[in-house]
Amino acid sequence: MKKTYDLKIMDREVLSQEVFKILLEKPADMPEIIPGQFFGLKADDNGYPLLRRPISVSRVDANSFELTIKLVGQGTELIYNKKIGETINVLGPVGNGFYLEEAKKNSIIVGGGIGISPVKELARVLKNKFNDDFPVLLGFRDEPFDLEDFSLYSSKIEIATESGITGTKGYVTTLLEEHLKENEIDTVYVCGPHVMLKAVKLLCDRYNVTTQLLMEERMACGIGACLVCTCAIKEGTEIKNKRVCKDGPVFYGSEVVFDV
Amino acid sequence: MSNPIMKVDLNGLVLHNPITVASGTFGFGREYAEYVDLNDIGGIMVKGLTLKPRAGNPSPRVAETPMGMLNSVGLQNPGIEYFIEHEIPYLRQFNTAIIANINGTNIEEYCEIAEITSKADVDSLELNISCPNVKAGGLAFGTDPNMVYKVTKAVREASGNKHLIVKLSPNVKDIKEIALAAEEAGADCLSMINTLTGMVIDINSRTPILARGIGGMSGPAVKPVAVRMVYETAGVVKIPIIGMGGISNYKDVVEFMLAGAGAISIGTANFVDPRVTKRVLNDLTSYLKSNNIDNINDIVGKVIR
Ligand SMILES: Cc1cc2nc3c(=O)[nH]c(=O)nc-3n(C[C@H](O)[C@H](O)[C@H](O)COP(=O)(O)OP(=O)(O)OC[C@H]3O[C@@H](n4cnc5c(N)ncnc54)[C@H](O)[C@@H]3O)c2cc1C
Ligand SMILES: Cc1cc2nc3c(=O)[nH]c(=O)nc-3n(C[C@H](O)[C@H](O)[C@H](O)COP(=O)(O)O)c2cc1C
Ligand code: FES
Repeated sequence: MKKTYDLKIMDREVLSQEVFKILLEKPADMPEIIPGQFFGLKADDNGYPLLRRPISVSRVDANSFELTIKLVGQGTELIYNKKIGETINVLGPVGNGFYLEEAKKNSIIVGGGIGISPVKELARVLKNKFNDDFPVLLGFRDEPFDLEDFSLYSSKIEIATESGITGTKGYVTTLLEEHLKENEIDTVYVCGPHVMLKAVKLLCDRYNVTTQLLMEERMACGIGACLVCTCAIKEGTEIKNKRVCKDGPVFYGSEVVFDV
Repeated sequence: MSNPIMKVDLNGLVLHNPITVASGTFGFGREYAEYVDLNDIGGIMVKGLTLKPRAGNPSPRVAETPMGMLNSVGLQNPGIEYFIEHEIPYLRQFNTAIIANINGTNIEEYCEIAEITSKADVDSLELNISCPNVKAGGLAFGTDPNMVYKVTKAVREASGNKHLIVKLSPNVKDIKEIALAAEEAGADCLSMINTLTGMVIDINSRTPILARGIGGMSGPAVKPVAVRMVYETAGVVKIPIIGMGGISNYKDVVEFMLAGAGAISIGTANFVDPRVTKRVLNDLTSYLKSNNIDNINDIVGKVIR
């Protein structure tokens, strides 16, 4: 039977003013963690705040796994304040990760903002699987973070920043379009803010390229029972409200209805 | 001391223990069955059902509040036929009561779904006249004693002699007159409380967090309101009450039962701890043992008034 785990925080690293990483011990009886899957973190043991915070896995090692977290409000702040050696209660891994059974070599990984963290684990897994580096296109508002880690999993990293501080000034979609124009691309895997997911999907539609989007929605149970986390998904001619936590969080761009 | 008696009889609905799970928080049991043995749960109040499938409201459907949450799911469900065909056979594998939460937008619809569901293999009907998240029906039926009487009476007649629970809304002036109206109209049992209406506004975007603006509040923050309503109601009705609203540990259960609940239901707390039901059952059993109480029914309504 599945359970929640109290996991020891083995390490913490601060990446920027608002982004940090924690390394958690991985218990032997935890199921395999797939890129794109996430955990429900209890921010504090005393019961407040009430609901779990959904956080994606950003790297998996033999005996540990890493989460990359942006400071947003009270929950993420409490997680940040936990000390190394303390434990944190987690539910998971939950959700479907990226669909990789039919992954092809000529694919591209795209991440934006804190959304770069789940695609880092994807880059690692794809590199292992194909013994080759995939193009990784990363978009930031300003100063990039975690590039050192990314360079372990791909030598083909391209950066776009809105501020122009480094890389191409503008959005990842500009970088992506160059690839789509020049090469035959099978799939684009994406995680990032809602507007970016939509822009990438619309762009790839024009080139007839498949997209897999990691969607975000506010959650409560995290396992598919309460129906608070739905997004509109096309199924044949019908539009259905599907659960991001259980039916997703990864959906094919062709199914997602952005303007409901 | 041997194990205390946990069986409760709610005016014809017998549960092997008094811990049930609240409608809309536990789906049809499938997801939580991976985390808890459903045989350990006294009864499952399934997701609110309607005659036809319903897509529910747009997202966001949840907003967290201090020790609580708002939801505006809007009764998303696969419809009564799907439930009967696919979910009842699944739930019947377990030793737990199946309680069907039924909804309608007018009296005819309530009666139609009640008639269909009462002929199905369920142990009880829970008539939901208190959903705040739908435009028509729902809460409108639950806030006026005359309407409560009318809809309960009609559903009572439409559902043969199936056990009938009426689920009450806390968004009312006087819970006692609502409860009495349901009792008089033939309810076998009451469940309470449904969610309290509430709102959260994002001060940066100046928009409500919920797509629909207003939602239903649940979780520990509503518990004192719920305990008070169970207490007031237990003082005037003769039928049993299933108490709920913010229960997350055995102490909460004891509190509700002392106030007059013959059984209880756990909702939001499942989201925090998917195994909360089992934990509460174990702790409750230990509590009874260490207080030399050999029958759970002995504490019902035993608050000193
Ligand atoms: C599938 C999924 C994966 C995610 N992965 C990551 C990740 O790897 N790293 C990361 O930094 N963040 C991630 N997020 C976003 C993260 O869950 C929120 O930033 C976090 O819950 C904010 O909590 P808070 O208490 O600090 O903020 P507050 O704004 O105080 O939170 C208030 C409530 O709103 C919810 N909430 C606020 N923002 C979001 C949001 N963007 N998505 C969902 N719920 C939200 C909170 O859970 C909480 O219930 C992910 C979200 C989802 C749905
Ligand atoms: C996400 C969610 C969905 C709900 N859906 C229903 C429903 O379909 N029918 C119903 O009668 N009550 C519904 N409720 C109300 C609960 O059954 C319960 O009355 C309420 O949440 C109070 O209990 P709690 O504080 O333990 O959650 C829902 C509550 C939540 C949180
Ligand atoms: S969060 Fe409960 S169904 Fe997704």
